[in-house]
Amino acid sequence: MKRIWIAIGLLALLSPIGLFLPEYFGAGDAWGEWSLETVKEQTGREPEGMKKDADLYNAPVPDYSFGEEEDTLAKKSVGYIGSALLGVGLILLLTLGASKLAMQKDRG
Amino acid sequence: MHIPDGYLSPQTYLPLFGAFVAVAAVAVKKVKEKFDRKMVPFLGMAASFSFLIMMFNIPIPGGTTGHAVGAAIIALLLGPWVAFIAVSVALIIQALVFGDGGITAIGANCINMAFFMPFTAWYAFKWIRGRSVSPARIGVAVFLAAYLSLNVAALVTGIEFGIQPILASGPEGHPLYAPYPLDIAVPAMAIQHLLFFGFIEAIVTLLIFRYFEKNFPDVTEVLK
Repeated sequence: MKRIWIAIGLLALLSPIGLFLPEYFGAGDAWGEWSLETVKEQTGREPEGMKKDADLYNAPVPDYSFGEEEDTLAKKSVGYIGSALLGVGLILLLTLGASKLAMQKDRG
Repeated sequence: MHIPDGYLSPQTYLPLFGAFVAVAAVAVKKVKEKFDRKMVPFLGMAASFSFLIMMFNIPIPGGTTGHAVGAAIIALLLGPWVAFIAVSVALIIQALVFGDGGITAIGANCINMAFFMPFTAWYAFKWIRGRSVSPARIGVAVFLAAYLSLNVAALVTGIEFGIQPILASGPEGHPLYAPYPLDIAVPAMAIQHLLFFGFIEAIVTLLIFRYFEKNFPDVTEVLK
């Protein structure tokens, strides 16, 4: 069991690989996950509905980054690892809380 | 495969939200029936694993990226309903905290990656394995189940993108949301996953499956 937690910690620490590889090969967004500007570049227009909804919600840590687009890769990596740990922390809180709730209800 | 806000019309994302809520209600009921204290860490590990593996963006020829989802291995180890909950938790955190996947598309993304994937993997494994106990046959079944599951999720996502121009167009016929029709969106999503990401999901799934078979032989739900 302990080994699995260690593996999860290692995955979080290695997560910047997911940042380096696309950067190294100059890869852009995943298919269908472009920004409004990119869609405009590709198709010549901004779909009205997309324009209305694209910025509907501002995530607190957009794109797993705490900094700016221009940050160095090293700085971005720290933010990426921080995001990985934050995400795992929130997930564990959520699953633990929900499990407790589910088990309490069963007893009551 | 995380659909952002603005790509799906309300006539798409609202029904998919409804479908997600309905499946979630069934999943919670199913999982609660057998839930005990021992499963809590597994659920947390599974959701964490899915969250993390999706951060490993892999570039492919053509200038785009993609990633494994981890839904197949979670389904095989813990069952498809637990996998649905675990992957949904990961996707919801990704959308709310990191803006990866839109909030309007949470239902769609959970149906694509947390529903279609685990259930495809689960039933594909059972079907390919048959009654065999041969490690080679089981290995092949694991590999193909994972490969198929990501491809089914990609296909469904491609269809959701591709029907947008049909469902919502402006007065002059231009699309209001995701701009590419079915004959572009479906092949684009399908080819990337058939050629690349499906194999990544399959390899990750097989490696972890073998590890659990060796070290935690009584855990693997799909072999019970």
